[in-house]
Amino acid sequence: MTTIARDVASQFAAVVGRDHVLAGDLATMLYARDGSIQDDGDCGLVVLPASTEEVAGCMRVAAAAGLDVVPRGSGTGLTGGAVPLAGSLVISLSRMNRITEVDVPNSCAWVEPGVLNLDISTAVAHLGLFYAPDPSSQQACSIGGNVGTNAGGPHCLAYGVTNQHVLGMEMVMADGEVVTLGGPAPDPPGYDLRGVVVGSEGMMGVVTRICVRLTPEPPAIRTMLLDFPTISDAAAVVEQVIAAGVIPASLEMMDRNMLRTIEPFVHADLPVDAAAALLVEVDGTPADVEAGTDAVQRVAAANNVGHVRVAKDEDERALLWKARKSAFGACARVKPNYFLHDCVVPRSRLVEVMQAIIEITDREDLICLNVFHAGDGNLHPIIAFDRRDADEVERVKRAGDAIIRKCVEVGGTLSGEHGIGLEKRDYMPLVFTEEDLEAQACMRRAFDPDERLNPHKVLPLGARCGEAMLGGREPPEGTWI
Amino acid sequence: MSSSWKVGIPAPSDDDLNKCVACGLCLPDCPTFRVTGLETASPRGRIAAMRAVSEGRVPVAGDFTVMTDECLACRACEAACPSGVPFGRMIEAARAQTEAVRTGPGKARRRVITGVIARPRVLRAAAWGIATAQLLRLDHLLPRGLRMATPRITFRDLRTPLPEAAGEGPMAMMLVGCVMDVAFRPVHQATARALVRAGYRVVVPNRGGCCGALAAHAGEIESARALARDRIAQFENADITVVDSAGCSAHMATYAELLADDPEWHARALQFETRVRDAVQIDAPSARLIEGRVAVHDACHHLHAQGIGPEVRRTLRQAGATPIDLGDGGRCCGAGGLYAALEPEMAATLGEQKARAIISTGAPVVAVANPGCAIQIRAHLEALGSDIEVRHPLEIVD
Amino acid sequence: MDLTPTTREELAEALAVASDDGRTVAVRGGGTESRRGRPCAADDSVCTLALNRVVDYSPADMIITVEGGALATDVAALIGAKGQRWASADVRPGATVGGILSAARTGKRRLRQGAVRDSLMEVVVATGDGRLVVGGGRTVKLVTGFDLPRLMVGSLGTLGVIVQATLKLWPDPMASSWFTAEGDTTDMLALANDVLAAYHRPAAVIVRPGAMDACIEGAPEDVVAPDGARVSVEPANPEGTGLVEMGVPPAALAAIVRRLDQAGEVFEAWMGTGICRVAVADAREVASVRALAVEFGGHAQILDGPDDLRADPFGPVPPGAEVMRRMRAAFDPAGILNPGLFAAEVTA
Repeated sequence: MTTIARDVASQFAAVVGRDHVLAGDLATMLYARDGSIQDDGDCGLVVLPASTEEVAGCMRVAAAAGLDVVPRGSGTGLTGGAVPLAGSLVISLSRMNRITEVDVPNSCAWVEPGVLNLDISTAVAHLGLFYAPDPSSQQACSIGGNVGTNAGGPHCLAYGVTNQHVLGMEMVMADGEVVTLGGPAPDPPGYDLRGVVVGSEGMMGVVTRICVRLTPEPPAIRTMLLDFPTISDAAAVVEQVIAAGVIPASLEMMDRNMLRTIEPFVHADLPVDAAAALLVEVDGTPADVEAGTDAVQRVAAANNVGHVRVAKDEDERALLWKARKSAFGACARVKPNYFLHDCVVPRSRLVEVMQAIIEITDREDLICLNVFHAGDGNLHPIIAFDRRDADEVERVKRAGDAIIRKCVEVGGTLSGEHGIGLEKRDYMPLVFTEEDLEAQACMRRAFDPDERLNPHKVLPLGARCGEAMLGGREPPEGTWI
Repeated sequence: MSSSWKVGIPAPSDDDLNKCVACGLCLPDCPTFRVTGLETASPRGRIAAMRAVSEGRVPVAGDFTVMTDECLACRACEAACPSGVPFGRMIEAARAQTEAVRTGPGKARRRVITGVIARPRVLRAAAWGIATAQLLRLDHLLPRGLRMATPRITFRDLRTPLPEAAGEGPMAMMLVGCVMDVAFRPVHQATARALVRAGYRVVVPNRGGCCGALAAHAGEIESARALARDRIAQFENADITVVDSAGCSAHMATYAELLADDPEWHARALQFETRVRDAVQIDAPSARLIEGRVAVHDACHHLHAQGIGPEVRRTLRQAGATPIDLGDGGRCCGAGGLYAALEPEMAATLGEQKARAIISTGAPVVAVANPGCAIQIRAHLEALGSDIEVRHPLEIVD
Repeated sequence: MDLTPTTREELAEALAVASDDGRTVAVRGGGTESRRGRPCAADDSVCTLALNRVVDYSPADMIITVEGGALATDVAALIGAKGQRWASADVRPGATVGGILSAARTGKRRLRQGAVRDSLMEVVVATGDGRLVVGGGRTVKLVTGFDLPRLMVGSLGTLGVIVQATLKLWPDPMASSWFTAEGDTTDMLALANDVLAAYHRPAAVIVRPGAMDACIEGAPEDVVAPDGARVSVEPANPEGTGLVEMGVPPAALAAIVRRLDQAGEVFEAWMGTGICRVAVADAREVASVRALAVEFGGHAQILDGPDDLRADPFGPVPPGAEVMRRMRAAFDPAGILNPGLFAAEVTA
């Protein structure tokens, strides 16, 4: 295992304090992993800064020593985005966990990157506000990590993904310089660097403060669970509801395998005999909710719906959502390990892709459970397996590969919300040409010319941005670009 | 590479280890992670460390011991884990391992504490010593952590008798315990009266006897097993065994697993377990009507280990009181058995957080059903200048 | 040389040649943004109007892919027939889809519909040196590589020409109406506050000198006039020699409205969004409007105006300028596209 030189480690200690530099074997082993199944991680050293100044100090030390740097939030990412390779330095932002300012008049808040997603909503709930993007890991994932992956979640259908809820950020660049991009004032002049940093998977800078948009709680919410005898019926409802002009706050689908697995864990009286169930939530004014409910029930009735269950109070609503959000964990009761896929396809191809997934997993003799953000066409097939069975692991990999290819084939793309990270890096050529990837490499080098921030991620190893492209050319007299 | 676990001593099983998929959903519920932000102070990190030991990549010692020592064993992570990883038993097994190889002053300290606690007469003598020292204010010479971890013992507590046998009906034998015996006999008195009201014939052994929880949590498996056998032999003829300490009731419900290696005792333990009750689970009418707010602190061994919580609130409501949740998600107070004495800094951080949460409820009294918690919470409320009373729920409705 | 290529390859080739020769190129679609940024004289010009095909429209997926030179009004008619709209865009007559995106032109219903930059899912760009590069994907939600679509929105043609765009669409609301009230500006501000508080997610709440306009959308029962307001239409932009758009923290707009009103300015404040448009007569007025924006923590840029007004169209150099320069160097190595458009602050 690669280690980082002692004298460099003590330079970090001078910045963050000796207690916040971890160099031991066990510690670096632990920080070599995140929430993914990537096991080639190799962490050289861990530093845990507590402030922007300390982050900047660490970045300066890292720059001087030519170190690769991997920023890390809660380490709940699923594609290996926070996994260090070849002895990289890991900067953990978990100690930066304060909400520094809640600005109610401007409906925003400045938070540190280690603040957990759900903690933001909890902190502003008493003001009738919440933070909208709600990934299923929201009680554990950090807002900094959300920025890195442009995280989604069930409520993104109507409310939008992270990029629409991050107004600005303070970021430390690879050379230690601190810059503030965006903020509560909309549309600053120049290029939308703020927008480009969201979803950049830690490769453009280390975000140290984030200005998040706070959304008012809707006056009315109605949550429904509908079950169907076939997947096609459920998918048709998804399509037709949206075609009718109703965009529910969320529209989630679970298949039979998933319902049967979750029920014993959650005891929510789920329709375990149905082929698929839709969890639909409509919100807005009472009239919006009536109109939405009406449309959903009308469309459902025209598509062989079994039972329509409407949550009668907040407790039942919470129970239904708990069922949905427990999906991944409940799978572990089937087999000890699971591989959670993230594919996104045009909504109109949902049924076709779901059938294909069933075929693929059947062919490889694997157990597959499906839950997904049907409204966005974002599928999460979960393949349960036991990692101690080498053959099964091979079949899981083959199935994953086939699933990705199918999604791309129907006009989808590689990731809806988990990011590319390590896991899907080498699939990028499936959707982008060499030139496309070179352009992305240039976007990254514009922020980090030396390519030391989270290297080896997102872009396949061949994608390079030539030196010539980054100029040294001065812009014309009197202009800044 | 072969495993680094010591043979012949319980170790976290590979099956249990394999259940963890490193999703990280346990992190926000882990008090030590919340305080430090360190992956090495999180359940996921501890499990990864156990796996590293299991795969022979690191030894059972050094950093591994530091990590397991720092764990509160509060089991909040178990409730959060969607995969059902049984972290409680894994950390106990890991502790058995680290204990087996521990040397030096840390070892000696643990030996002394658990040795004293397991012996009722020695413990009582030590309690008299502590009470005297506290009266003479000599305890201020102790380091802060140790001082706050030591129960406030008064001579009146020490002279309080154990409850007399009383009542009619099925026989309920009460666990006298160790720390409960020397510092919390008034709670036993209240519990006995509650049992009589509930229609039991109360029988109380005439001296203390540790259930072995502290030994087990400290990794001293053989001591724990010996104490378990003693308690089973002592109580197995009762209709129910009533325990008014959350840590003890939770531990006694695991005697069968502890004695799994011995078929005869395992069978007796299985029988015995079915008749163990925590005192708050007894449906006893309250003795008096009280009004006002009562803050409720949920001991980890109630909330996370046994799912006990509604019972306390029900008992308080029946007495006319308004139970108030602390709003801290049931986070551990930092007492954790011997934790406050062995990991004073973390214990102090969590103890202060807990005390502040209690103060913020505005209630004049907080219901605490575990002696370790009561000691810790009392100490930290006092340190913040609060005069909120700390009482067992059954004392409150007594 | 003024070219109107009919294919993207032709356009890219033209740029490649110009790049090699070092000839500067002005990029235009419908010309609706030609009075933006520092006036720049270019050797050649390229017009996208012939790149106007609808490449793919999937009403079921609520996604449309069009070439960059397609007129936004044509697109609106096509999707309108299916009960859908490009909700966040400022669909002006004569404007191309590529132009609206390159200029980040969000419409007046921003409060509810969001910014136009959030509607671009996939983009095909002809770079300054003639490469055709794709970024994003044709789904409504994705994170696949770095966000080239977002980089392009608002880049005003300096990174490349948008030759194709995939837009996320929204269904037409069940009901929608504009309402207008008239009176003292102070009273109109108070009325605006009431509307913001009383309605759930109004599409627009605008304060002009002596008037308030609100656009309410949603269920028919919810689309009712605020007290004292009558049914009307979307207000037109403030008229003047030039038009400046302020961007400030939304909470600052009330104070800014009062100041502008006192100064007798002609303005249109989009309450709740932080946007305020002001008609200006000359560069001096631009400077004073900008100073007001800066005072409240924001910025101001010129949306339209004659050449002599536009010496300082964007104000002070924003943070991240070094990164922006590198982006430009990567996408337009020879610096031929709309040269000099992003002017730095001109010191007096």
